[in-house]
Order: sequence, then C-alpha cells, then structure tokens
Amino acid sequence: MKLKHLSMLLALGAAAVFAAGCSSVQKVTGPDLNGQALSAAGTTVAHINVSNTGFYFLKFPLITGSSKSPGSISFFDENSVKVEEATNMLTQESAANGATKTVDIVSTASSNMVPIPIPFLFFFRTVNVSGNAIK
Amino acid sequence: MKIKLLLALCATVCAVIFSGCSSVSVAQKTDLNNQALVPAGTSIAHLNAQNSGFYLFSLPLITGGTDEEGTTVFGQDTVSVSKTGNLLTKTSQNLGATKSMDMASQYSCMGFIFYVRNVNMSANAVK
Repeated sequence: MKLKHLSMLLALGAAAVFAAGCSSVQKVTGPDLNGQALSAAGTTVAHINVSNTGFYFLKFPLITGSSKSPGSISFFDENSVKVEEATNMLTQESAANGATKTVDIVSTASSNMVPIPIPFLFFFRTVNVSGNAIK
Repeated sequence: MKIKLLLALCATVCAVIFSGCSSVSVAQKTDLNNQALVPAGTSIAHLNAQNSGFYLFSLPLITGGTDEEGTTVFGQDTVSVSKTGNLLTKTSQNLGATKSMDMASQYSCMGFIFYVRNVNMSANAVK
C-alpha cells in the first residue's frame, strides 16, 4: 500500500515537473506574414507571443517557466507567471527585433487550483501575452 | 486484458478525433452589421485561426495542417504561432486585404509525456 502511495506521489511529482514550468517566446515574421501589415502606420516587424506556466504552493513559486531564459525551467526562485513579467519578455523581444513600438498588446492570465493531494494549496498558473512589433 | 485493449483503442480514437485540426473562421460583411473594425481603411472581415495537435514530448504526432485549413497532418510541427499566423495572414490576403490589424494570439501546451498543444489567433482584415 505504501509503495502504491509513493509511486503515485512520484508520478504526480514527475507530472508537475513536466507539465508545469514552461515559458516560450514565438513570433510571426517575414514570409509568414504574407505581405500583410499589422498596423495602419509604421513598418511591421513581427507578431510576438509570450506564454508562461507554473506550479505554485499558495503564492510561492515551485516550478515555473523562466522569464530570464525562455524555454528553461526555474525551481522555487522565479515568480515569473505574471502579466508584468510576460509583458517584459514581449517588449524585450520586440526591442531586440528592432521595433520601437509594441501595439495591440493583449493578455490573458489564469490560476487554477490543483485539488491533489490537499485542496486549495497547489495552483497551476498560466499567462499569455501577445503584441505587434512596429518601427 | 480485452477491456484494457478496448480502452487503449478508445484513447487512440479520441486522440485522432480531438487533436490535429486546424480551422479558420471568417466573420464577413453580413455578420459585422455595418460596423467598421478599424478607424481608417475598409474593413473586410474578422478572422480567427485555430490549430491543435497531439505531441510525444516535442515530437509532433497528429497536428492540424496549416497549408490548408480543416486538414490533419502526421509528423509535422504545425502547432506554432508562426505557422498559424501564416494561415491567418494567407486567408486575409486571399480576401483582398493588405493589412491584418489588431492581431492577437494565445498558445497553450498541456500534458505529461503526451501533450496537446493549442494555438488561437485572431485579426481584422483591412484594406
């Protein structure tokens, strides 16, 4: 019985590591825009999307996607699943691509309680921000 | 044993049916009720493109095709903002638009070993 519980906990832990804690920066640029301008004025650079997810104990980050290094996982030290952090990543990428404006920024954020093993302790947070880089 | 096999078969069928589909919805003139979508220029349509796919870690298994909407492809990494953006702007271009304004996107990836990825993008086609 104990072994069964331990293996379940291990599986949950592994699931948390793999399912939570992922950040990404993606963009639509060049030929993928099919010659379409993304704004009425200025030169279109790219459409950029930033997504980040994380596993929290109450409001303390356990496993989160890193905002400093997109694509990598941060353990315990980065409270990065926030609109502020994702917007920072978005505008940083926009500036790195030579844009001077990031227009039409849209964000969605959610926090869902994970009822296992004890309800109201663990939360799965996601944030998604997109914008259009213009110069 | 038979029940397990049946369950595995059901799971596979569900994976094929529910994952791996791309779509583009176009809300044109009649659906816009004479509302302009932008302050300047001629509004053509509001567009929404969706794509989803079933992945083994980061390896694509069944995904929605982005060369043509409504199709399913195997082994092609199409569930990304760049590929779905391409599908969206191509549709905008085919409608005669020169601009795809107010473009917004959402990306999600959920699972464990096997992952379901989703991309949702919208924009207003304007000329």
